[in-house]
Amino acid sequence: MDELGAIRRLKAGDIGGLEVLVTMYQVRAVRTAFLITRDSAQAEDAVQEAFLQTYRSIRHFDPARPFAAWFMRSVVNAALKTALKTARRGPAGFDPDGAWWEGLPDEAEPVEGQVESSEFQGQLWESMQSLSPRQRAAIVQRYYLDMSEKEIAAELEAAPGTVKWLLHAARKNLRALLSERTDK
Amino acid sequence: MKDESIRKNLEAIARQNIPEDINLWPPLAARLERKDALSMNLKWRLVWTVLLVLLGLFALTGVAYAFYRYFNNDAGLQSVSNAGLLATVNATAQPTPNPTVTLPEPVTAIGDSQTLAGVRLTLDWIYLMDGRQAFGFSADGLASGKTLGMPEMGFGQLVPEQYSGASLAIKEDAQPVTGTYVVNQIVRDDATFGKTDTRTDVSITIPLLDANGQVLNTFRFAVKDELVHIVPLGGGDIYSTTANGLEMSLDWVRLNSASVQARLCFVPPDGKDWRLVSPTLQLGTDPNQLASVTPVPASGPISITNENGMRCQVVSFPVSTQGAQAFILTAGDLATPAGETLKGDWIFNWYQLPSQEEFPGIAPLEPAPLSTQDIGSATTITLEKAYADVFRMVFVVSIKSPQAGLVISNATLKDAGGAELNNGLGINSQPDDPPGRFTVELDPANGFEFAAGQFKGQLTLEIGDQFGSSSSQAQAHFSLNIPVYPAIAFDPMQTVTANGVEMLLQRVKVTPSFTKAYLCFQKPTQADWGIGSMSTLKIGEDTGTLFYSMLLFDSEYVGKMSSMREPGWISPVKTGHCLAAGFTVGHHGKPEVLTLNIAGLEQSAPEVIPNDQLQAVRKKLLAQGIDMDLVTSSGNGGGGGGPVITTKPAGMTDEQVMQLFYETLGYYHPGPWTFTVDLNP
Repeated sequence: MDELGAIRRLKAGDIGGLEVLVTMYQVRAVRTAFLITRDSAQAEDAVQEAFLQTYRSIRHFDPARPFAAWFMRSVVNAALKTALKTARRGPAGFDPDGAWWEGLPDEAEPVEGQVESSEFQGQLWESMQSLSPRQRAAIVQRYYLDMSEKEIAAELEAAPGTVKWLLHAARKNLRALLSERTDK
Repeated sequence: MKDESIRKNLEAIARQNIPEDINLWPPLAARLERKDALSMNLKWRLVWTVLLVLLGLFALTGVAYAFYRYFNNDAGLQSVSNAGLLATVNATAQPTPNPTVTLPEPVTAIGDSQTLAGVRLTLDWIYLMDGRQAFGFSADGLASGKTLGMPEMGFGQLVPEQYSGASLAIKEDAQPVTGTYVVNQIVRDDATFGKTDTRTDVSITIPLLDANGQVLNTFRFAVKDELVHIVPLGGGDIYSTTANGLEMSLDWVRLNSASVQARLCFVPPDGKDWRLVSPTLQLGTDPNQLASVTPVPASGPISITNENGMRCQVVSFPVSTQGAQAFILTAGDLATPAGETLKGDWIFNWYQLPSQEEFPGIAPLEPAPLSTQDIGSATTITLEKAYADVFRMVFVVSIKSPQAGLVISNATLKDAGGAELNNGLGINSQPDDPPGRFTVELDPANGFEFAAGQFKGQLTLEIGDQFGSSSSQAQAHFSLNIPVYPAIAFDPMQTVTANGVEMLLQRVKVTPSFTKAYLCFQKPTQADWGIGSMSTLKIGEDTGTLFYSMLLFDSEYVGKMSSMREPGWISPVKTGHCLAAGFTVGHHGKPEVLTLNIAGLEQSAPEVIPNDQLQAVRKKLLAQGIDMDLVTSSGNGGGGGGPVITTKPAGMTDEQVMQLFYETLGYYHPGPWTFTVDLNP
């Protein structure tokens, strides 16, 4: 069954349609949520919420529009809500001294690149912790989900200028934070 | 810091922390099965079964209040009736009014005022629904050509989704000037939806314009902690339409007493200077008579803006909006200054203008709920006849009431233990039936079979002014004790090969009213192939077309499709695709021959064909003398679309054009596969 078949089944109330969509999107969705929440358990919870929301609201979904974008918007929103709650309680369980990023580099990269990339990943990840959840979500949408500023604005129903400003602030912060860490 | 570097490293971080083999389905399925979630979803499922059925019929017939299956079009039920298997019940009950029939809460009165540039604007009321939001205002001092521009609404922390158009209606023919603004979009707190009320702060901005349309100043209002009402989505106004490969949206509409302005947006193809050159408007008081209204062309200067690659044009139509309820806006052709033309059926139907919309508290809701006296003392429901087999239960019901227009709005079947047994629901009324008579058909909740033997349980029939449980106003209960005819199974295990595809008829299960055929085949390609809708099944002299097709097995999805398998059924093949096909033709009591004809295999064509594929096929068909397009639309009532056939060869039917269209696209694989089975009781 393809995506449209699954959506049709789900629209008709067949839970099997959701099972297919879960199979198709769960990995990318949880990874997206993780980058925003910084916690794998919270990410899985957020994505489960997003799938439940999909189940409840699929009747509103217009099949003329791409499902992936529609669904990933729910994922980002769910993850953002979790991150905002967590932010009020303090950072999630990120251990800057831990070996969490060991082995992160792409397997295809040469050894020299792996070292450089591992360091960069550590710095990037640590820097992202310092961004606000909304800035982090904007970075994830722009770079991980490869959405254009226009698409982000359209998805958020926000003015393009707002998104441009959000990304600008996030990039500026990220640059400053990376620069600080590189200098140390 | 390059973008690609960030992307790659984010990907690596995510990959390291979230493995490829996670499986969210078991915990999700468990959450879905929780009682609270399940009860809500079952309810929705039921409502949607009814809605989908009805909407499907509206689309097919265009007849309001049509029902999805006529007894006289159902060979299986006809033969059941002819064979005397329809039991006479004649039980009458008085329905009990639902205690929960209440009017929705009225709009929130505000009354805040602001004065800018001599204009005093008052925000009179606001009403938020999760699918659309509205407010009303009044204004004093709008003179010298001053007017109000399109407002904007904000909702605190809630981010609106799925914007699908807005409208502003201003009545300037009385003082103070009054207006209504309605925007279609989803405003919902995902975390609390369905559990608790959503409340949000609201911000409203309304620009004050001079006679040239320039912004003089902006009115700003803030409303605290406003309730978002959960209201079923409705409408049907079209927001965007795709034709000839180009999507155009009707961003907003603004109505004054003597004119209508509309903002149309599209992405200019090839980056050329495309412009709308001939938009027209048909505005009328009767939504059903719009087609006969003379189109009014746009007049005056057309403003053009370009934003992020999107071109938007505001067009103005000099028409009186007095009493107007609906319109058809036809965008017309696009053209470039160099003389190139792009044609397409970009048509926007709006059936409810904001000036005519009734909000609770602003106007009374119609129709009013039934009074307790009407229902309790003078209305009766009679269960006249009943028939049941393992595949379906059918009841003939009549309503007698002094209130006209009552229908069966919902039906529920429960066993002796109180468990709900039905899922699918069909309500049927024949044109030659006396008023108030309906046939109610219930299908098994598990999607497979009712238990054969004697059924003891309860049927609940709900009545209201329209279909769907949400409109139910009263209900009556009937105790049932009726036989459920079993299915007889035959296992022909016949194989037929056609057009390179081998198909196996593993089994047929037959009741007096229905036949289910179990088929397996190797798919022509790795795609969502099923049997074609033109498949037929004949038993004796009765023939029926495909009623449903249910996936049982697909080797591409082994281990992932367990929820779709029929309990007790074992796939006869290790690779391929198996399904159960249902036909409303039955068999009872005498030797007969069953002939199953599968005309072809069909892929589920996407509701939107990718534009490059569509244009390539259009080109191929044009070479065969066929000029056609697929037009799709979406709006606040969902999406839709259909073919527009402009030219076709003489003698060719529209159905043949469409089959050729789908075959050219690769979505149809012709057969036929024909099976013959001797049915001996």
